[in-house]
Amino acid sequence: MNSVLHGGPAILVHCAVLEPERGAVLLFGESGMGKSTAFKRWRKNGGEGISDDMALLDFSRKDRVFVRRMPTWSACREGRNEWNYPSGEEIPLAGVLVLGRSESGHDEIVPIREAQFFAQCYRSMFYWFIFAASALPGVMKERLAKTLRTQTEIITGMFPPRALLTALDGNLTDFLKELL
Amino acid sequence: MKLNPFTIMAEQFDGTGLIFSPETNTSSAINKTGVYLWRRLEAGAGEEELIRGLLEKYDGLSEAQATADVKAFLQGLRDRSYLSEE
Repeated sequence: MNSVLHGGPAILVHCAVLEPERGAVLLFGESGMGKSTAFKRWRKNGGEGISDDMALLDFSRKDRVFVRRMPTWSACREGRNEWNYPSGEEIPLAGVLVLGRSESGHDEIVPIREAQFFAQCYRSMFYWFIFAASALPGVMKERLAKTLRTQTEIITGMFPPRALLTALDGNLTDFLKELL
Repeated sequence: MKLNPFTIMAEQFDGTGLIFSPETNTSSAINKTGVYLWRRLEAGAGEEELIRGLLEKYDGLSEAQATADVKAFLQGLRDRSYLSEE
């Protein structure tokens, strides 16, 4: 919080991170929407990734955004102590998808409204500040809001507004690797 | 009267808008007039200015109707914590 309020270029974001060969793809979605499930399905068939709940986004470079991995919540909860977390490594941001539930029974990627895309990205950027933000004085609230909006605009300006609608089973890794 | 700084309004291609609060994770659709009023609020307008703005914008609108519409709009924003009295 302190870093963000003072113009720091990094921000902790609520998302899962898939790591296809060419970078990091963020999956934004509310708790319970299926980030961890999608992440597990991605890894089950050989997909790379170690973050299913948060990542650090680095906006310090002018033309690109980089992602730094953060420990996987599921791994912490399940006590997978053999995992290690090379969080210092930078991965270029290669995609953003909003998560939703598939009603067709299979995985699909669909276009969504820009406003919906922006709102979900903004919510994910805001997520880790929810409780602290309400206690900030007015000027600080405005400063935090401005930073979060600017960073959300950067992210949403880089990629088309799309949602990944996931089913419960099937090979998500193969499905996404063709698209990512 | 001030908009919650965390709340955003995205104008859609048809001129309507979507208000979103990341704090409560709630969103509300507003019509074109709502978008106009929101923009005026962003610029710092108060209730009286909003009413005058509507009267200038819509020929034939009565002052009583404009007042009622603005009050209802503002109350809706307050009810959803999009607006505070700070």
